[in-house]
This record gives sequence, structure tokens and C-alpha cells, in this order.
Amino acid sequence: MKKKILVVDNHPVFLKMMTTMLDKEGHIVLSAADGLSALAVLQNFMPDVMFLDLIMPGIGGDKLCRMIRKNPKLKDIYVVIVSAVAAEARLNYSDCGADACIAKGPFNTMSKHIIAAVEQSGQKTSTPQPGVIIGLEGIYPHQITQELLSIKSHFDAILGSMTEGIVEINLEGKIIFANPAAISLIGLSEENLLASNFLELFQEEDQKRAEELLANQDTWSRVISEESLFKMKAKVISLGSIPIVSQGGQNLILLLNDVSERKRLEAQLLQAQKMEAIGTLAGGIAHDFNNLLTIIHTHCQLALLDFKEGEVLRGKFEAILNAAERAASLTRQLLVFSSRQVMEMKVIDINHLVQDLEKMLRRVLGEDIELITVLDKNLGKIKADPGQIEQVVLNLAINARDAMPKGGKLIIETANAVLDENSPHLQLGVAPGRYVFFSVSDTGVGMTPEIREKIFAPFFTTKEKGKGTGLGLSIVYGIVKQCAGNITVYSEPSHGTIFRIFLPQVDFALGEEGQKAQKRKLLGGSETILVVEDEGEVRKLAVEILRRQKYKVLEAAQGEAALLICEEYKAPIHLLLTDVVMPGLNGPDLARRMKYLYPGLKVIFMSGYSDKGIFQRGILDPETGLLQKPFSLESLTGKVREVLDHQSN
Amino acid sequence: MNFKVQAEKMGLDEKEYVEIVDLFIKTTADNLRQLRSALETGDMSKIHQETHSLKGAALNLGFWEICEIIERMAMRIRENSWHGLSDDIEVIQGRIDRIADLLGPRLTEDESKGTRGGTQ
Repeated sequence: MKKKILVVDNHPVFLKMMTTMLDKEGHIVLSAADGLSALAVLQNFMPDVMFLDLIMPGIGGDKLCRMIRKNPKLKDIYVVIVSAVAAEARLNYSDCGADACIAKGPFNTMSKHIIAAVEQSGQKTSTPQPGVIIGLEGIYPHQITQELLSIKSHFDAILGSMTEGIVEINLEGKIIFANPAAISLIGLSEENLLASNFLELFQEEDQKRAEELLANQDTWSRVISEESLFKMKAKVISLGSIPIVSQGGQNLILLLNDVSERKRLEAQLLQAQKMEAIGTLAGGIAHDFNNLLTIIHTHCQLALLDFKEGEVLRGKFEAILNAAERAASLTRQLLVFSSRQVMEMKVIDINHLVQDLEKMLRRVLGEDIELITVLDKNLGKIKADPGQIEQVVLNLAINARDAMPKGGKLIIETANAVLDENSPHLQLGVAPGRYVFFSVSDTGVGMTPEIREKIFAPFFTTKEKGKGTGLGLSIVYGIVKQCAGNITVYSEPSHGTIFRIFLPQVDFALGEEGQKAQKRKLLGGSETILVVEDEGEVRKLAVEILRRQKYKVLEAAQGEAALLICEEYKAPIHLLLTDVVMPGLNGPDLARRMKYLYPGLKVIFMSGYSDKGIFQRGILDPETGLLQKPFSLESLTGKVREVLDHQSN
Repeated sequence: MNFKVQAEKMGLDEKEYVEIVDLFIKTTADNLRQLRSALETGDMSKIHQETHSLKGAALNLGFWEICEIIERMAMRIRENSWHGLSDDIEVIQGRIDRIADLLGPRLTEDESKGTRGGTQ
């Protein structure tokens, strides 16, 4: 019976013998010199039988057979592997889906098996002795073939274990080889990948650029896209190339590296460095600014003590005081963003905090926005400044409200979370471990990727002029980072936004969160206080206020001068009120030295921000007092009394 | 070498066999050129590839002598005895030249009668 036959082999002598012999038998015979050419022939020719060589350049017989079996139009072709390595390779040809395997040998004996296979092809179900290689009799293993197979298996093992994706393309850009790493990176099966057009794997906007690079032979033999990367589905790919001369002509081996993670980390690092630089700048300005504000603020307060009710100037001083407080508030926000705000750390339960805030949040959100809270009853505790965590929740809620001008839903959710090395939420500078997770999500307008990249940058705002300072999310970012936590954002235009915050869990008992600081009256005492402050006006004010409250006050402009006073002053000193950052001896070092002289000495640091080299990560020892600059009469006298009383208890 | 007998053994007519042997001589010339070049550069992978290809075709056509020389080459490679390899290549070249000499008159004869085109 006349059959249609395709013979695929890279050796012209074998092709010629096969076509001559099968032609003589009356069959219609076509031939192809490699796998890729065979696939081209199969587009217009549907054979009954295919004879495939096993080892061919590019797509070998086993891979070609797998591709045929996966193709619904071709899968029923009777496929016979004709192998010159049958005696050496211990082939299991059914692995690739072939129907039979014939050993290459002297043509006079091999041709009988070929003819038998063609006859067999019509009766596929009765294939005799499946798995047995036909025509092995009289063929002995050859050393040269074993050596070749050994080299091939070594290369296969190396290519298979490489983490770099390797693809070989021919001059037409068709893929003829892909190692497992490339298959995994590209995300297509080997059968679908082989013979496909390499350029079509890239996103449309990158195809032209990739084509130009590959067409330019000057760029071959090196990484051609380290700076100019390509997008392949959601991945960012760097591309290298090695030209190679093969039997079929000049091919190109392409090295593919998935640099998505590296690029993400680089972007994170860049963002962190940018934030750090802006923070340093903001912190530096805020430090000096706080000293000036302290002078303005406290002088106003002192002046107001001397004014009587109804005096004309009283109103003007009150206006100055009001402006100074607003300026102080702005300075505080800058310090929070720059993670230089000294935090008063307490062990807190975010569930309690959210529940306490609910009433206020409903008022802030308005009637059109529904507030939903989903709180984990077994939520762990965190150590943070409660006021700052409140600010995080409030800022995110305000942000969500502004994203929902026509109303919607705001959902606050809490849960425990474990971040390990593989967690997608584990970002640069965040350690693996147990975290408390809380998210704030909205059903608002969402953000484009371009806006999402900038939202934590200070003074970036999409709101109308005058409706936002651009500091809200910067502050959130600063607080989370200072708590050694992590914040991520997911958003899509028209699909809302979700902020996820991870804060490290602690095992300590609950602190005193929720206890509101008692507003104190101007309190006084009779203890001796040493005031050390290099800013003359601030020092004078502190001294004046404390003396008004009947304390005995000593003063020094620097740490070294303070130590001299200690040597000369014979009576006890009860409290050191000192600036933190000063020329020469800084505040904490001065306090350490003075404690040798006065073991029961109490200390209050006055500071506008925490220098990371002085206070570790800006977190203050709870036994030590902190007076935030700019201070008021009440905060100074209150803090002094609080520290003195606490220690005397 | 009796081409007619060889052709009958393979189930081909003499003219077909002559055509195939002619193709063998041409492709072998390329194999030997590549082999010499690979020996100069010490490209082991290429040496194995070319000798394997040469051996396959020789085996198909029943040129046992050539197959034996190739096996001897494999032995030399395994024993790192490279200096004999060039000699082996020249021996193969000699065998092929002899086949070509025998084939020459047959080809001239066929050409004068007109040959049939190959199948593709």
C-alpha cells in the first residue's frame, strides 16, 4: 500500500539511501535535514510514517517526537526512531512517544526493518514487542559513539543545572534549544517553545528593540542589554548572546537572566536612600528650627503670664503662640517622616487602638463611607509609640477617604503574620520573623503604577493645592520604618488601594497605652537642677522658667563646663536637664559621667530629634525622661516634676 | 570492489548505489576537513561528532575497513595518543580516494546516459 513518508536525518548519505529505497517501494517520500525543517514540511504534508534520527543539530528526534505527540493534528503519525546510538545509549524510545526504534546499521539489513515498519504503520495497535529496539543483531557498541554520548550527557547535565536561561536560535530567529531554566523563565512548555519565534516572547513594545539588537552583529558575544532591559510577561530580562557556528549555519545562543527581583531591590534601595537623604535634611533643619520655636513659644507664654485679661497685646501674643504651635506641628511631622522623632515606646494592642479610634474615624470619614473592621481576636502585641500608630491609622484613613469622593468602604483588618525569606512582603532591611499585620483598604479610585511609586515621597500629593501637604503617607512610612516594620501598597486604577503594614510582634505585657497624659499645671519644687544647653536663648528660658518654679538652677553651655560645675558645686544635684546634640561632650555621655558623681541623678534629655548614633534607633530608655522641643511652660515643668517624683518613689 | 554486487546486497540497482557512494565521498571530504581542523585546535567535541558521522555513513554502506580505522581512532583518543590520529585520517582519505577512483568510470558512464534526480 502506497504511503506518505517523511525521513528526518542530518546525514545526506542516509537521507539519500532511505529516499531511494522507499521511493522504489512506491511510497511518497519527503526528507528534512533537521527537526526545524521537518516541522516546516509538516505544515503542508501529512505523512503516515516518520523516520527520525535521534541526534541532530538543534531539535533532536526525541524532542521532535514529543512535539508531534502534543500536536492534535500530527499526533497519530506512526513515528519510528532510527538511531545510530541504539547499541550504546540503552534507549527507551517510548518515553518520547515513538512507536518503534530501529538501530542504524548496514543498509542491507536495516532496510528490511524499515520496510517492515512501514507495513506495520497501518496496524498501530499490534506493534510487536513494544520497547524492543529492532535490528540490534550484529551491531556492537562503538567506543566513539559512547564518547560522543558521554560528552552529550555531560553538556545536558550542565545545561540542565544552570540557573541562567539558555536559548539557541537559528538565523530566522526560531528557537531550536532551550534549557530547563529558560523553559521555566519563559513559562511555556518545551514543545510549545521549540520552533517558535524568539522575538514574539517579548512584549510588543520591546520586540522591535530586541530585533535591532539581535540584528546588529557588533553587539554579539556580550551582554547586550544590561542597561536596556526587556520585559517578558511580568518579568524583566537581561539578555546576553554568544554567536555559534553549527552545521546549519550561524546560530545565536542567548543567555537570559530574570533580573526582576534585582531590579525591585535596586528600586527599593534607591527609594530608601532617597528617603534617608531627605530625612537627614529635614531632621537637620528641624533641630535648629525647634530651638527657634522654643524661644518664640516660651517667650510668648512667659509674656502671657504677665498680661492681664483684655489687654490689647495679649491677643497678638496669642496669635504668635498659635502660629508657633502650628510650626512646631509641621516640624514634628518632618521629624516623624525622617524617623528622627524620639518615640516613647509602649507595648500595645492594635485592636484596642483601632477600637478606640473607631468613633473618631467614622466622624472623619463621613456618612458616605462605611467603616468595616475585621480584627483578629488572638492578635499579638507590638512595641511602638501609641500616638504614632494612631497617626498611621488616621493618615491612611484620610487618604482612603479622599480616594472615595463618591463614598465606598474602608476596611481595617488585623492579623498575625510570619514573614520568612520567601515572603513577598519581606523587603529590604526587614528581618524575617513574627509580625502583627494590619491593612487599610478602600474601594476608591486607585492609583496608576507611576503614582504608586511616588506616594511615600514627602510633599508628593495628587490633591488640589491647599488640600494636602503631601506629608501624610511620608509620615506613615517614617513611623513604620522606625518601628522596624514594613509597609507595602497594592493599587489599581478604579479598583481601590490596600496598604499592608507589618510591625514586629513582642511578647511583653501590655503597657500603659490609652493613658492620656495628664495636662499639668505649672509645677515647681526645691531640688537642684543643672541645665546644659548650647543654644543660649533656650538655656536662659529653661533656667528662667525653673527658677520661677522655685528650683535651684545651675547652668552650663557645654558638657565639659557642666562637669567643671559638678566639681566645684559641693551640694547634691538632683536632676540633669540637658540638650542631646552639643559640640564636644554630647548629652548622653555627659549624663553617664555625672551618674558616677551622683549615683541617684535623674536625667531629662531635651531634643527635637533623635540622633541615631546617640539614641539607638531613636528609642529612649523608658527610665529616662525626654522633653520634646519646642517645649512649653507646662511640658517643661511637668516633665521635671514627673521625673523627679518617679525616681524618688 | 564490485558495485553491482554491493548494490544487489542493499536492494538497489547499480546506478542508485553509485549515486549514494558518490554522495558519501563528497560528504566524507567535508567530514575529513572538519576533523583535521578539530585536531589542530584540540576540539574534542568536534572530533567525536565528525568521527561519529563518518562512522555512521560508512557502516550504512558496509565500508567496514573505514569503520575499523575510526574505532582505532577512538582508542587513540581514549589513550591520549593523539600523534597517530593524523595518520589515521590520511589512511581513511586513502581508502576513500581508492573508492573514488573505482567510482570514476561508473559516474562518467552514468553522466553520459543521464542521471535521475534525487527525491525531495
